[in-house]
Amino acid sequence: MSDTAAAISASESECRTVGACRRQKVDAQSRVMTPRASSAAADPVLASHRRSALLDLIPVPPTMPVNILAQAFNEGLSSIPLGWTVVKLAPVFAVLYLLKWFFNGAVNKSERNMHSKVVMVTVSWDD
Amino acid sequence: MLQDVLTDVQGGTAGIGAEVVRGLASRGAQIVLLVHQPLTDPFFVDYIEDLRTQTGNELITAEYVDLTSLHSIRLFATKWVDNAPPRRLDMIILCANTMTPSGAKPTMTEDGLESTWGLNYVANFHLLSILSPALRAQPPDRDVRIIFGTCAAYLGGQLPDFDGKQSSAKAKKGAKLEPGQSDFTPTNVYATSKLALMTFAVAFQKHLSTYVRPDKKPMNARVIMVDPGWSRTPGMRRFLTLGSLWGLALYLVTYPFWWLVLKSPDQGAQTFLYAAMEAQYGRGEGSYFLKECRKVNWTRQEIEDEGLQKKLWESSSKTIVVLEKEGAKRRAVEKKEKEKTEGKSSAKEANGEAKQRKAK
Repeated sequence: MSDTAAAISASESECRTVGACRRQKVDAQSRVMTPRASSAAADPVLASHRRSALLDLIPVPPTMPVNILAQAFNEGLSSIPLGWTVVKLAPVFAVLYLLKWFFNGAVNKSERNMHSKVVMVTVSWDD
Repeated sequence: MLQDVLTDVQGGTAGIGAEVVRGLASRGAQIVLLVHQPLTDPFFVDYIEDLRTQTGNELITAEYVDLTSLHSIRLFATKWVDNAPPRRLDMIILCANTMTPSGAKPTMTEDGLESTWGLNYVANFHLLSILSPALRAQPPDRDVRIIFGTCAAYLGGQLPDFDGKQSSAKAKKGAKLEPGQSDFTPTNVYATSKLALMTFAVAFQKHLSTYVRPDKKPMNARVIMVDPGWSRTPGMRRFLTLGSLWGLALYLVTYPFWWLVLKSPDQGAQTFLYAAMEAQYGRGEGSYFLKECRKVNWTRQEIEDEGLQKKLWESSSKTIVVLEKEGAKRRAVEKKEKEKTEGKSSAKEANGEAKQRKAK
């Protein structure tokens, strides 16, 4: 059993994406649990076949924006991790942005060639 | 003590003025900073060096002017004016100002003026009065701008009753003119100083416009007033924290709020940059008041009152004459005393010098 855990953690540390992680985990489990599979794993055709078959059983959340939206549309917000949190926080940030934009005031859009102009400036006293 | 140290370390490195300088310097302008810290201050030297590197502009220089000292202003300004041909000067930006935190005691300038009034108004008056010939002597094709930093607080200002003051003005100290020395409230004095500054700004435009140039060309110097809005500058911080440590702690805790409702210094500098660069303010009669990068009208009509402008101008120049005389006397006495004390320790040297002087 400790072998399994070690194999899983080892594979986990290497994985980059959720899908890859799952795949590696499954691989590691199947390798350890079915010792005979080692010969089969050497066969690339067989290995890929097994992997895809196993993956179909595990629901993988979508990672691309359009897919996420599609999932929210099809299966509801709660099927997406942190779905409701994001929806609740969005207006808060929107309001913050608007307030900040309002209080920031106008931005200068005028430009003039200032080269060679001599400007005398008295700077603030309270620094 | 600590405050003094901090004052020197941070000088000029924050606030709207510094951002204006950065903005203009990065566009290639030649900057002359008027600063109150000694020019050999290593922190300040670093600041200037950094500014030069960041803006890619080597033409950033600093001059020492203590704006709380009329004498120091005169020394600098006369040195600037005393040049033939007249030195090039395209723009003066007056950002320096101070505000005593509420509840604090009034502080005095070297000349005995309340410091808010002295720095926000009298110093600018004095500086521009002396620099005026240098401004008027610029070639006619040059677009000269004098930009005053003001503040919405001018609305609450109350100029003193000049007639009353003058009749009772055997008052040797012109400081008596300064509003509210007996009933001192920092916000009122600040507001009054800003109102006076704006009234003076309009008067200064008239002073420039009525000047007949030797070449009969129209006046090319224009006064622009800028209300930058409320920003998170050191001055504002000092005001909000009442200049105290517990206030600073409170300010830090509530910082998110201030971050939201107050502009960054960079944002505060925008209207200044607009005033400096927008082409339309290089034309027309001058006396423009800008806010949020737009021309607006002032709400206080006294600013345009010619009688009031005249009274303010006259009483300010009187005040300055009186104070400068006093200052000169004081310096003479100090010099004598210094010579005395030095004379005691090294009488021989002093004698030698005196003899040399006589010999010359």
